[in-house]
Amino acid sequence: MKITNAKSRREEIEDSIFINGIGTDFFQMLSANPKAIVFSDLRINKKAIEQMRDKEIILCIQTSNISNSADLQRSKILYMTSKLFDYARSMKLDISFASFARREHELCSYMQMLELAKLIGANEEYARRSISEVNKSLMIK
Amino acid sequence: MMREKRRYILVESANEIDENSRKDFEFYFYSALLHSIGEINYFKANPKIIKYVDRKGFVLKCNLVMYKETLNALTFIKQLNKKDTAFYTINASGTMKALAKQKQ
Repeated sequence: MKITNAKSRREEIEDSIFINGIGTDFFQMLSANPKAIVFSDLRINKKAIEQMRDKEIILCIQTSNISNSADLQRSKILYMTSKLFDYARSMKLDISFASFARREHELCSYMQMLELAKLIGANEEYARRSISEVNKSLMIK
Repeated sequence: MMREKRRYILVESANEIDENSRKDFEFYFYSALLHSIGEINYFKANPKIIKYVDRKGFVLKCNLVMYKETLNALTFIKQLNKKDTAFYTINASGTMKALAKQKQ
């Protein structure tokens, strides 16, 4: 799986996960047809989500954000993530959960990922599908 | 009186747990778990390390009702005694015997 940073490598966006950072042009990024997009600021961008649904782009939720923060910050991230998840799900967007771990300590097991997905608002069946099937569809063959 | 239903979770630590400092580890581990799960949920979960499997693994017992909260609390523990760490839940079962079987 190729993960690209919008600012540095625009040419590698296709067939990859795109991380939407501060100051990136979202609609320019959509035109590059990435397979999945991460909303790193966790804000609900209704227009972007609509376009993502039309283009069948997956919304990727970063779980290391949740597990690595602490106290009030974690509560805030959990709240924003669950709101984003609810909205994306109501728009019938495919959602994937990934840790985006940079270090061993940021990883989590399948069981933990499943529980995190449920904590955010997914039911058992949806969480299993998001972690296995949707994630597999992101793999570059 | 109804018997309390338990869940046994096989946990792996990212760092090795020294045999001589298990008491200290347990103190910091329970404190971190209490911080993550909250005081009210902690007494309901009643978590307890009942067995060390190897230098990194151990079996954590908790109440079935608070099983999910305990799993999430384990995910949220990233520091013990100011050292970076992580706990990965490998497996869970209703009995120790079944957990041992699943591990094999």
